Amino acid sequence: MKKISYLELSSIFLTIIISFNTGINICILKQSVGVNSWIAILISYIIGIIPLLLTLYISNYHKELNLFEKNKHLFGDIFGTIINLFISIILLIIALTVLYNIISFITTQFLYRTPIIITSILLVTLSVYCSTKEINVISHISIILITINLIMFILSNLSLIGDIKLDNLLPILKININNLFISSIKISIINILPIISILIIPKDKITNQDKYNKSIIFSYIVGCLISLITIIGTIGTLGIYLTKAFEFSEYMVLKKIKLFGFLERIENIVSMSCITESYIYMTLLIYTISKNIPRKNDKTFKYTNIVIGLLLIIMSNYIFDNITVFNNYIEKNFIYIVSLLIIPYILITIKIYINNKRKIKQ
Amino acid sequence: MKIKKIILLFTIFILTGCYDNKELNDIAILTATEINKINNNFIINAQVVNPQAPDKSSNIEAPFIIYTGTGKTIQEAYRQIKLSSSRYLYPEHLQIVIINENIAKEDITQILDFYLRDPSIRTEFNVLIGKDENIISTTTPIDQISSSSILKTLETNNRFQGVTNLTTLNELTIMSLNPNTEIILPSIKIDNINDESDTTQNTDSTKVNSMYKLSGLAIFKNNKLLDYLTDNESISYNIIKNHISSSIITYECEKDKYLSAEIISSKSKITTKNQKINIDINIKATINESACNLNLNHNNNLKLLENNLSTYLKNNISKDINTIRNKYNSDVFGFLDEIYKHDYKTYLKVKDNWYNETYKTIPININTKINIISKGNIMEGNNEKN
Repeated sequence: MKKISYLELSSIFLTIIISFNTGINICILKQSVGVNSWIAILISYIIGIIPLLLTLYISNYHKELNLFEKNKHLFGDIFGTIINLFISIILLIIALTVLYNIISFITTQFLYRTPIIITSILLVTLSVYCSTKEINVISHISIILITINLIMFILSNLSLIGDIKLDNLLPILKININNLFISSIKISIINILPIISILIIPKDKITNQDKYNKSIIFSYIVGCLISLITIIGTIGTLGIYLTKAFEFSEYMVLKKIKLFGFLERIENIVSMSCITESYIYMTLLIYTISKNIPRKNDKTFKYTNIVIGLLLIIMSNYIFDNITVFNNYIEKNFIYIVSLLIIPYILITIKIYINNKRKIKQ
Repeated sequence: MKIKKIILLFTIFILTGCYDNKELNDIAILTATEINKINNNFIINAQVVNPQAPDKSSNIEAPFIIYTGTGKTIQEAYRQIKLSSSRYLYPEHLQIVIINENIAKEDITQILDFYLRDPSIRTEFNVLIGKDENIISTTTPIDQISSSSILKTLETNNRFQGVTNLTTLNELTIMSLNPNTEIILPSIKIDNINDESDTTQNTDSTKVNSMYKLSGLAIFKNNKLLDYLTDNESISYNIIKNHISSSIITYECEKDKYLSAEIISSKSKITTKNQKINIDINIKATINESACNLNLNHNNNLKLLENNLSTYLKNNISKDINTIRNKYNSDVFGFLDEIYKHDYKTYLKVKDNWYNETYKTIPININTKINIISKGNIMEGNNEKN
C-alpha cells in the first residue's frame, strides 16, 4: 500500500463528516428544532468530540494495522471476526443510505422521469471501480474533488451573504431543550460515528504521522464550520417556513446564487459537490467493507467490490419505495442502527486500554 | 483491455441524458401564466414565446401565443393545453404568474402547492393579482412580450415610484405559511379593454388603445383577498417594510403650492418593546421641484423643510397604518412576527387575542427622519425671492 499525505487524509475525513449535510441533516433538524438548528449542529459537534478522541486513540494502537486487523489482533480470530462483521454490516447500511440519499436528490431535482435503477447503476459503478484501486487512488480523487467543492462552497456562500437575514434565526432557544439535545445527539451519531471507517487507513501509511491528529482535528473543525454555514445559510435565506416546505431546501437556496453579480442559475453546478461528496464517501465505505472480506488475490478483491456494489443497487431499488419511506427510515431506523457503532468503539477502546496497562506493568 | 475499451465506448451511448432529455425543437418556452377559476374549474392562460422570429417590418405573426386550458386542478388545466400545443410547455423561464382576484378571494394555497411541488419550475418568478381577465393576452408596445413588459414595469415602478413591490413565489409562500403575518401582493388591471386588446393592431397607433396598469397592493387575511390599498397606502407599506428604492413625497408647503422631494434611499426598522411597536424611518431625499416661496440656500430653511417633511411623512404613514389596522384588521406589516422574534414573552401573551384585541390598539411610535442631501442643479429657484 502506497503512503498518502495528511492532506489527503483530511479530505477523506472531511467528506465523511459533511456528506449528510444535504438531505438528512436538515430533514432531521427542521421539524424538531426549527430555527435553532444551528445550535443543534454546534452541540452535535461538541458531543462528537468523544468519538473523535476515541478514533485518535484507536489509531495509535499498532499503527501498521487497519481497523479490521486491529480487531483480530485485540480480540482473537473468532470474536474479532464477529466485531468486524458487525462493523461491516453497519457500514453497508450507511453506504446504502448515502446512495439512496443522493439518488433521491438527483431524481427529485434533476432526473424525475429516470428510473432510480439507472441513477444507482451509474453512481455505484463509479464507486465500485474506484474502490478496487488502492487507498492512495481514492485519496487523490478525494483531495481533488474536495478542493473543487470547497472553492464552490466558499464562492456560493459569499454570494448568498446579502440574502441571509439573521432575523430568520430568531427566536433563540424558545423550544423544548430536550428536543434540542436529542436532535444534537442524532446529528452527532449520523455525522460523527461513521468516522470509524477512517481507521481502515493504518496510521503508518500517512507520510507525516506527527500531523495525523492535527489534520483530523483540523478537518473536524472545518466540517463543523461547513455544517453550520450550510444550516445558517439555508434557514437565514429561505426562512424556517420555506425550509420546512421544501424537500431539499439546501438546494433551493442555491437558486438564489448570483456569482460576481451576474452569474445566475448555477445551482446545478454548485450542487455537484453533494454528489461528489457522496461518491467519495460511498467509495470509501465499499473499500472498507471489502477489506474485511478474506481474499486470495486482487481479482477476488475486485469481485468482492462488485458484489457489494450489486447488493447496494438491489437494496436501494427494493427497500425504499419512495422518499417518504426513506425519511421515515432515517428518523426511525437509521439513527439507531448507526448508534450501534458505539459498541465496537467502546469494546476496542477498553481492550486497547487494558492491553496498554498490561504492557506498562510488564 | 479491449473489453474495457468496448465498455467505455458503450457507456458514451447510454449516458445521453437518460429519460429526461428535451430537445430545443420540442419545447415551448412558457413566460407567463394567468390563473382564473370559474364554476369550480381552473382556467389557465399560458403565454408562450413564438419561436418564429417575427418579421418586424410586416408584423405577420404575434410575438407570443396564448394557450388556454381548463381543469379541476391546475395540472389538469396545463395538460389540456397539450390538445392544441405541438410542443411541451417548458416552465423554467416562467417570469410572472397572475392570479385572478376570483381565486384570491377564495384561497390561493392550491396554486402555491402546485408551483412548489413541481421541481422543473423555478420558484423565483413574480406573482401578481389580476383585477381583470386576459391581462397577459394584451399586446404591448416597446417590449413585445407582455410578460417581460409587465415584469420591467414592476421593477421600474418599484424603483422610481414605490407603489408596487416585487413578490416572488418564495416570498408569497413565506407570507402564506407564516402564521404571524399576512399576504400582500402587487396587483394589475387593464385600462380600456376592447376587441383589439390581444391583436397587434392594439399597438399600431401612437396612443395605445388598451394597456395594462399596475395598481395598489392587494391585501389578504387568512390567505384570502380582502381589498386593494390605495397608492399612498401602498407607498407607506413599502417604506415601512423596506421594499422601496425611490418614491416621491408631494408636500403642500403653502396654500395650493407644492414641493416634490424624491426619496433617494429609505431605511426602516421595526422594533418592539413592552407591547409597543417602534418604527424608525431614515430617508435621504433631494428636492426635485418647488413652487414654494422658500430660499433653500439658508440652512435654517432647509432644516425647517426637513422637519416639516418628516412630520408630514410621519402623519401620512401613521394615518395609513391606522386605516389598514382598522379597516382590514390584517397584520401585513408583520408586527406579530416581530414580537415573536424579539419579544417572545409578550408573544405568548398576545398571540391568541392578536386580532381581537391587541393589533388594533397596540401603540405604534413612528420616528421619521428626512435628510435633504441635494436641492438640485440650481442655486436659486424662481420662487425663492425672500
